[in-house]
This record gives sequence, structure tokens and C-alpha cells, in this order.
Amino acid sequence: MASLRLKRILDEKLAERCASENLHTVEEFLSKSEIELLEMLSLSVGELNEVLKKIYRKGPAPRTAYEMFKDDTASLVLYDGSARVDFNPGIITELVGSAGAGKTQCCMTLAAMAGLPVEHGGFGGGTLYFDTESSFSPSRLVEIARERYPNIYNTQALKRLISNVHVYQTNKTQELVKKLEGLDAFLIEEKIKLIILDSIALPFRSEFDGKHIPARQRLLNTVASKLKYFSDTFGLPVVTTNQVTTKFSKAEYGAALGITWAHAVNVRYRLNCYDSPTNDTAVRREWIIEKSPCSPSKSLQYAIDSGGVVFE
Amino acid sequence: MISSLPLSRSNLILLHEHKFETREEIYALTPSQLARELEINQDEALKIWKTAKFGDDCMTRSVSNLSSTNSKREVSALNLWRRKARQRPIFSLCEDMDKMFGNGIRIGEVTEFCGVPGAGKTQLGMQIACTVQIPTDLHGPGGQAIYIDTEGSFMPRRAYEIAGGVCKHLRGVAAISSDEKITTVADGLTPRNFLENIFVYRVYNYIEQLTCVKSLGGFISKHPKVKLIILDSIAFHFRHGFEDNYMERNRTLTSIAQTLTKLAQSLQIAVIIMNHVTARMSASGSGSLTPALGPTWAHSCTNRVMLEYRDGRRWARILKSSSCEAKTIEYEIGSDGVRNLSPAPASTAGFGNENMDFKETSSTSSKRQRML
Repeated sequence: MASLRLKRILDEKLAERCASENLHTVEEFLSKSEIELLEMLSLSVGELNEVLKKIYRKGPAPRTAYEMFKDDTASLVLYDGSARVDFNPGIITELVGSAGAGKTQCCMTLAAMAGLPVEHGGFGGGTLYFDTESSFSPSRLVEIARERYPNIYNTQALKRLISNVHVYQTNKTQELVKKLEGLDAFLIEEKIKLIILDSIALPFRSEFDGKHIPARQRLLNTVASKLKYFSDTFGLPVVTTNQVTTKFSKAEYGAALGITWAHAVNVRYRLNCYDSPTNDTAVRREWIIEKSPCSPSKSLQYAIDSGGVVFE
Repeated sequence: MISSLPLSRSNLILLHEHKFETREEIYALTPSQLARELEINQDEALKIWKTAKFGDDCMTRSVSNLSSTNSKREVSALNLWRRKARQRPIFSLCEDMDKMFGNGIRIGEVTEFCGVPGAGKTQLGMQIACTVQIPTDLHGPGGQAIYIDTEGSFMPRRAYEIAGGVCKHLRGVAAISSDEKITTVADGLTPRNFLENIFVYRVYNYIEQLTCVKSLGGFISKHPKVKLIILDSIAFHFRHGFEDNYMERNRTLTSIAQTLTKLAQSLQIAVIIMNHVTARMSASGSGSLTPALGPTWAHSCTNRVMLEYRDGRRWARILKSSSCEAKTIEYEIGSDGVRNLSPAPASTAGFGNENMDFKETSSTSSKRQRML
């Protein structure tokens, strides 16, 4: 709506006057104050109010919550037992954890799930995988898919799976943002049903130092805004991974990127990895539902095997 | 002609002596100027002035009634009290929070809830969007809700669960009352009923947020049962894209605040705005949390509540209000929604009555059974 052309809403003469003042879209029009508009377009107050009313009528239309409830599309369900661990379309779900906790393993598990046919709990579609840490491994993805769903992923299905996982490798925030700008057409053409950003933390933490936090937060919000738009418009889950900070002050969560990003994320899962007290080589893994509008805070045990992430 | 005015003879002579010939000349002055000119007291001057301006039948009516200016804006505190007493309160089902506000969510005012992620802002929003719909047969507001979702927080599945929690609560309270009509109405409620009366706008940028808010007046005129607007959250789209152009950002924010305040006041509905928090570093290097959007925005809402979430516990604290005292209450969030921390006390009596009682203070109004 912001980029809606004025000439499609207003009458011709007024649209021409606007164009001569370099106002072509709704956004450009509304970014000026009313006094500026009165002067630039030589309108009376009453005339301006009529024009504004016409523009406001083009705003988004509401739906009842029940219509949304009926249209609710399925999510990717990783676990449904004493608690529910799922990845819903329309929102950003984040995995936070230290190195080795299993975030990337989880991402690859989700990519394998997204490729499953709908009747088996998947989306029957492709994945767009932003890999900022060069941690994506095609062979590991194949192994997870084959071991987790041996009856579904035969050789042909596996080949289809990996040709439908589109990996975009970059560790630069600007390239990330640029790719997000032009994503609409790509998502439709390639029938993408899942977007993974592994990890969001690396490029932002490396490029923005302590002195440029406001600029970092603004860019993070821009990225969040675009991701949510795609998630909602195309009905696909967006999954991001985040690192942990070692500093723990009262105002900061353990997750990196500060409280701004914590607000932007809708659901947050925390992956903790502890050395087992009894066994030197074994490791204890804890999956915590840290922030979720649908589930209470809960802690679950999980493990990583050849078939990806499994819950106990 | 002055001689035709129904004034006393002495006043007519006075006017003649001071060379007043037409009615216009009299009311061209203000009553106090007239008093000085004629060297009489102000009450007397006012009588003459009113007669000249409004004609024969003006004397029994007060100036505010006669004035052609918008009399909807002017109202005595007594009439304001009466208007508010007639309203059905909007309760949140978290009793402590309702008491914190006096008698439920403030109607006719804008209330801001800020809080850390996970504190429960959206949960509370979805719940109040349901409780505003409690039927008038059950002594509720019987209204509809508008929910402006700027960040995808509104999850229909969770809203359905919360609506279910509200139904459960209403059935529980109805079961205690012996009125069959009330029980029938409560039994007939389903989560679907509630969801069908919440109008959700999904906005993806600040332009859509602005146009959405500006178009609400028109929408509500077609849906007059709307008694609640929730904006969740005001902050998201204003924390990016403005670079250093804080003037434009603040101007747009102020415009949104003005429109919402006007809607709240003129339509006597409740407006709730969710805001983020941001970390503010003090000189010593320790951080504290403060509502987002800066000091300009801080003036925009009548009431401001901070929702805190620490170590698994949740508190609500009034930061700013013209009528509620600064208080902190604890609450919890379960599968049914947001509730008091401790089990609610057993409800007394039946459902409340609507008599306006001057002796009533907020403590007595909470003792008499509200249905919630």
C-alpha cells in the first residue's frame, strides 16, 4: 500500500500536481506534514481532508479472528508430547544456543521435514536457506532425511529434496538485506515453504560495534519486518538461529542482538548443552521454550542422532 | 430595536444613555466589556447581553446550552461521572489488574502496556478483546473489538484457547447464580462467537499503520458495537526506516496518538496500545529498561503500565495515570489466559446492578459482584 501510485487513487489533475512536486506514491504523500501538503498543492484544508480520506480508504482491510482461525495453515511440528515444539507460518521462530547446541542440525531437520509431502506432515515444498556461517552440509541433510523418514525419502525423493533447498551463502548484512528485497518472485517461482536464516547473529555482530548499536537495531527491525511480511503473505515459517552472549546484565537476555531483536522474534527456543556429570563423553541437551504465545515455559530433553533432532 | 427587548425600564434607559441603538451593538461586546461600559455589575450585564443575543426565551437556559459551538466537548464533571457510571466496565479477568485500574480497563482513555518480550502483552490484548464481548445479559459490555497487529503476534489458535478460557469462566460464574436466563446465555457461548467479533488488521509498515488508524472512524461508524481498539504494537514499525528523521517519526506517532485519543473520548471506547521496551544505559554502565519511542511518545497515553517478567514471574506496574495510584500487582499466564496469581475469591451475590451510588468508592464496587 505504501508504494501505491497516487494517480490510481486521485483524480488526474491532482495527481499531476503531486507528480510535479515529486510525490508519486502514497508513502511519499503521507511522509509530508499536512502544512507542507497544503502549501505544495495549493489546497484548502477541506480539500486536503477529502484527499486524505480517499487515501485512508485504501488501507488494509480487516478479517475476523475466526476467519483467520479457519484459514490457519499447518505448522512444522518437531515434537508434540508434554509440550509442543512447532514452527508456525506467519511468525519468526528463533533457536538460541551456544556453539554445538544443535541449531544447524535442527535447521536441516526442518528442511527435511518441509520437503515431505503434506500428508506426512510436511509442506511438499522447497527451503530457502541463508547460510551465514558456512555450516550447511548437503550430505548431512541427505543423511537426516534418509534416516528420519526412510520410507519416504528414496533416492529420487532425496534428489528432489536437495534440488529444492536453495542455499544463499553470505556473511554480509547488506547482501542479506538486498536478497530479502527481491524475494517475492523467487518464493513464488521456486515454491518455497520454509525460510531459514542460520545465523542472524554473525553478520550483525561482526559488522556493528558497540558505538553503532542504534543503526544495528534499525537494520534488524527492517530485516524482521521483511521476514514477517514474507512469512505472513506466503504462509511459510521463518526460522532464525542466534548466538548467546557471555555478558549477562539484568537488562539483557542470554541471546545476542539485544532486546530489540527479542521483541521482533515471536517464538524463541533455547538450546542448552551441558556436559553430563556422570559420563565424560556424553552430553546432556535441554530444549527450553523460552518465549511462546502458545506454550508455557517448559524444558525438554533432546538428542541429536543420525536422523537429526529427536526428543526424549 | 432595543426598545422591543424584554428588559427592565432602567436598563433600557441605561442603554439609551450610552448610545446603544441596535441589538448587534450590544452583543458585539463581551458581557464583561458591557458591564464596564454601562457601569453595572457583571450578572446584570450578562442578562442584558443574553437577551440581546438570543431573544426572548434565553433567560432560563445557561450560556453553554445556547452557544452554537460544539457542546459535546463541554460537560460538567457531574455529567461526566454520570456518563461513566452508566458504562458497563470492561474487565480483564485478572481481578488484581482490574482493581489496579479502579474498575477495569479505562474507557474513554488510551492505556499503554509496555513490557519485555514474553511478559504477556499480546496475551492480555487477546483476552481483553474477548472480555469486551461479554454479553449485556451477563452484565458485560457486549461490544466488539478491533485488533491492529503490526508484528504478527496475533495467533488465532491461541486466541481460540483464550476465548475458551473466558467461556469457561462465564459458565462457572453463571452456575453460581440461580437465574436460568443467565445460565442459558452463558452455556450458549463458544470460542467461535468471540473470534467472530474481533476484527484483525494486519499492517506491514508504518504507512499501513497510519492509514489503518485514520480509517477506524469510518469503520466504527459502520460497526457501532466496537468498544475496544488494541494496537499491538505501536513501536515495531517506528523503530526502523526513519534513520535520523526523528521529526517525521514523532510527527506520525503524534498523529496516530491524537486520532486514537479522539476516538476514545468521542466514542467512549477503550484504547489499548502495546509498546516495546529498550535498554537505557546509565552512566555507571548498568542498563535499565525503559519504554520505547522516546519522551515525545511518553506524553501520548493517559495511562502507562509496565509489564515485567523476571525469573518466571510476572508483574504489572502503573507508571503513569491521572486517576489510578502507582501500584504493582503480580499475575500469571496459563492455558486459559491471564489471571490473578492466587485463586480468585469465591464470588459473592449474583450479578451487579447498575445504580449509580454517590457513596460508592472503588472498594465497594469491587465487593459488589461484577460478573468477573
